[in-house]
Amino acid sequence: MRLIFSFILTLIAASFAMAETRIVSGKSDEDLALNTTFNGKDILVYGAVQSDEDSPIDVVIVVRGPDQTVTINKKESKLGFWLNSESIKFPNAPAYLAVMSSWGPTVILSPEMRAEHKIGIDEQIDLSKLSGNITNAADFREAFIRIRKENGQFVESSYGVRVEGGVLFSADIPLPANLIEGIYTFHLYVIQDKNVTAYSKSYIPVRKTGAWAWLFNLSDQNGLLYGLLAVFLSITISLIATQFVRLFRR
Amino acid sequence: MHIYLPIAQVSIDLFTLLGLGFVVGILSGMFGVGGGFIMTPILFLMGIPPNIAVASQSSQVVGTSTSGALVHFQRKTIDYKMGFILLVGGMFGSAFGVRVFKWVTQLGQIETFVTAVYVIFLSLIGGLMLYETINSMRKTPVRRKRNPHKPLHHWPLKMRFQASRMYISAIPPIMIGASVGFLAAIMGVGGGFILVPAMIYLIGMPVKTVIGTSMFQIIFVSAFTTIMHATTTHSVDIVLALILILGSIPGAQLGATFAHKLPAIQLRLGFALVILLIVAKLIYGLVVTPDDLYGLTL
Repeated sequence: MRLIFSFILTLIAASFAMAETRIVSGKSDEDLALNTTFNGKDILVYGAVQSDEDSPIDVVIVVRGPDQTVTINKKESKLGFWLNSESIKFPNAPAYLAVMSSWGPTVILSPEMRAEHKIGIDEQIDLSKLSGNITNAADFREAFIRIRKENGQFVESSYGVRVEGGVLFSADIPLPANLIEGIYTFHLYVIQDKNVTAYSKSYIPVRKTGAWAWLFNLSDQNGLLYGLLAVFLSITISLIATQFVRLFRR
Repeated sequence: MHIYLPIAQVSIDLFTLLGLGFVVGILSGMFGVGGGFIMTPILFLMGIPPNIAVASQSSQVVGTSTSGALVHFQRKTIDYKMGFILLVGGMFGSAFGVRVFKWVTQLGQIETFVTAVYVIFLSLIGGLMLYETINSMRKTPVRRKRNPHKPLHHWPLKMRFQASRMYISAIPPIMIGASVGFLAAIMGVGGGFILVPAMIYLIGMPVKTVIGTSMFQIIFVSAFTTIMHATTTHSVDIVLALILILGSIPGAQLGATFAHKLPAIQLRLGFALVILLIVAKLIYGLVVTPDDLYGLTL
């Protein structure tokens, strides 16, 4: 009994003495307004890692935007014409994903660790809720990722995080011009010896502001009024502009 | 200079949009069409989601047609009675077309279906116009009878259309209005490019009143479509529509001046060629292996 007790005590002491890693971080923006002139923006993420361990640190930043329902279509040639044949519905497709790291995630982490912490674009995409009549889900996933990358909605860089002196880190997260409203989650991981030794999570809300928010809400909530407004403005603006053009021509 | 569109949720160069509006405005003013059948595919290419492009387009067509109709209003080249009769048919056709649109969307083939409808109708109209125009250019210019008699004209419910100097049955215009309304709802455009030739060749209206009347009618049909889209799909982007309107008004004014000065035959030849060019582009798109076999829709 006495032996067991002292064994447990030793364990507790050891865990206190065990090297501990902590991460503190900040961002250049705490929220983001989609106003008239929004044309994409780089968010600077910076911070410091404090580690009692000697092993060198790597930092991975995963940013995930709000989920959307996306339909992925595949075209097929039938009688010489290219028609949509197979399609799948993807109910929890992220609208934005960024995976930035100070070294290739595949080098610094095992596949199991990446899957567990969802580090990587593939790892962030959950295909379990897919629905549709398809023969090869993997092709659709690949196409989805490729198209999103082409549109700047998915970004990935193995050198996107700069680590200085084994303590300070910083990264630019490029948010594209076609950004949609919602909560963007920032996951920060510290990696040492192929293990995640520290983790922190924060958010940036992306919202429309001012007149744009008002228009969006009206369109969403009172379609009839919005439609009438659209018709009224179209007629008024066109009449004013027509008169203006005529004055100008004389 | 970029501008962020609130409903489309994309940022687009303001001057590109104004320029697009201007060029389509010229065509619109010249040929009396809204230009939707040219504008819609270009907006797709610019990265605006298709449903937003189609819906905002209808709002923009309200504006361009208003401006275009104003010119014809002052020249007194609008046949209001004919416009009203076409409109009655148009409303029925449009309401029915929206249902068919929903049904085909559920089948998952709306994209191909719309393209096929475009190809069939545009090539019919373009071909017919080109054939007629070339024929009349070859022959020694014989003046056509002002009111060529068509069998359709002997149907009951005869009405006098003073502005067009016609005394014909109201049934053909109602039927034409309904078919155009139906097609316009399916294709997401005003339908001027079908209405104009139909009025010339099927109703036998004088070219002079055709364009003004068509524009007058389109104001109401596209206003109706805008409200339908705003209440059902919530995808009308007012900001996008207004920018396109601002670009297209000077263009439409310029186009209307061209239309007034150019001989009718060359105008028709130009219109026929523009239509056939679009058909060729659409067929090319259907037949050639796409760059990307996959596509995303929200």
